[in-house]
Amino acid sequence: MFKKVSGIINAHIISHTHWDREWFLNIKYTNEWLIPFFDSLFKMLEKESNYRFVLDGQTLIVEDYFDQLKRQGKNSGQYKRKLKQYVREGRLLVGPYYLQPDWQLVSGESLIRNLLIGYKIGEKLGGLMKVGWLLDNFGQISQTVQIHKKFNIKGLFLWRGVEMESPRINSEFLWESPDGTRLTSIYLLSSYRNAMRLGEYKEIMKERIENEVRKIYPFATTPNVLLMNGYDQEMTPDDFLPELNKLFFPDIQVKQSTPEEYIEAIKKSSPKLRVLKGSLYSGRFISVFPGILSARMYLKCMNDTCQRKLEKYAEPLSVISWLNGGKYNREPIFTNQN
Amino acid sequence: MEENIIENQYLQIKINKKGSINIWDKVNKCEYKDLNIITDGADAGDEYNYSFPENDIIITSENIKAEIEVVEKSFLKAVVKISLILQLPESLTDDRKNRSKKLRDFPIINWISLEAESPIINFRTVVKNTVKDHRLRVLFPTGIDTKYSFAGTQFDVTNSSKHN
Repeated sequence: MFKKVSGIINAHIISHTHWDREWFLNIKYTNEWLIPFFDSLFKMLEKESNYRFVLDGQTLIVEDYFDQLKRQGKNSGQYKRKLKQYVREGRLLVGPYYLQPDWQLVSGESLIRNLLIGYKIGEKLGGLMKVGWLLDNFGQISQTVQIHKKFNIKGLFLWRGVEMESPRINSEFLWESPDGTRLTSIYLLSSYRNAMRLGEYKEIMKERIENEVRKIYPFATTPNVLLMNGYDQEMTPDDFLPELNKLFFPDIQVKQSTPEEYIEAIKKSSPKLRVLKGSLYSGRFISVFPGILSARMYLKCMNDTCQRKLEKYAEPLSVISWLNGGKYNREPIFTNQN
Repeated sequence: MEENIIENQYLQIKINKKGSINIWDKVNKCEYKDLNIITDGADAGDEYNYSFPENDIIITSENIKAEIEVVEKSFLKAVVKISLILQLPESLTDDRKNRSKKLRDFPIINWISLEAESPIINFRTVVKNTVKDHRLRVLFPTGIDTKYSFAGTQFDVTNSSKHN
């Protein structure tokens, strides 16, 4: 039933944390976890000289961390230098977004600004990740591809909303926007936590990797499979490398990888990919929770009012003022769209 | 403006005794009947999903007598205030299978306004949410029988099946 690719399977482990800034708790609590989180992250990066980690496709987590250092009266300079060094070395991956919005609920302008600001901050930090990181969005809007492509993004990672006709289900596809723009997209059919905490349970690490690869490989269009080593609010990067180095797999080559390397590996195999078009709102394989679109309407109404005032009034007025020699304020985005 | 009728060059709006409205669209020559009916059912879902309970009771404003009051009437604008009170179950029962027998007043006020030169009807609705575990909806039946609809989204207009 499934096409078998002969030879070695490349299993890419991507270590990450999915940082829900304001989802099950608000920033009063989640921001307090940032200093211990970054402490353990730096410790890991120092201990393992090749360790690489994805900071959830956003830069706000870094901004919040710096802010938290300041609040606690710590010498933020040394931590900032350290963080930028790792970003420059490509070991800490930040951006491309400023924050992780619900793409269905904020305006088109907000989505563009989210990337513009993410790019600006990412460049200042030493470079940003050029893939779309839509791990847990509750469904995907139709113009996702075009918006990303205009920012020179190389590929997308997404999960919820995707639907394909069984048995022709693949972990890779070409996603097309209404204007015909296409991007190579990775469908996380085994979620964004299918290899979480490998190192924490060393005794079953080998078995877990083999089982997971066996499970997802039949859906792969290339010899590559994805092992996502992280989860929501993961506070400690997974210390799996020492144990992994001791293991031998007869037909799987397992290594730590990055989202950009994974997209590259897929493209290099030039697979023939199926095309999915437009918005992806199917709840058939994994829930998209349409009910949340009308939950806490007072927050949504407030967001809409603020967006309108910024986009249709404050910004045009700011531009008119700039044309007359005044100041132009270019950052109308809300951190609470996260 | 006559009794319970607001009108301009585009629309004629008749306000019915139960608080719903009928609209005569003068441009497209068609009528919409009984818009703005309120309907309420239980919600036995969680923080993510709506779910109907095992035994639902649907309560509507179909047989309500609303209080209708003209609050503004000028050459520029007419505003009508429609107040009604539904009797809604105060919550689900403890097993979350039925609606409670205990009822509470659930007040709803609608301000409907029409400006002299505009084809747009403005609604402002205020409810006092006095009960739990429910889903309140307002119905605007178009009478259009279709399998799909178009919706505005970020930089696009999407065609979606109405059952999705």
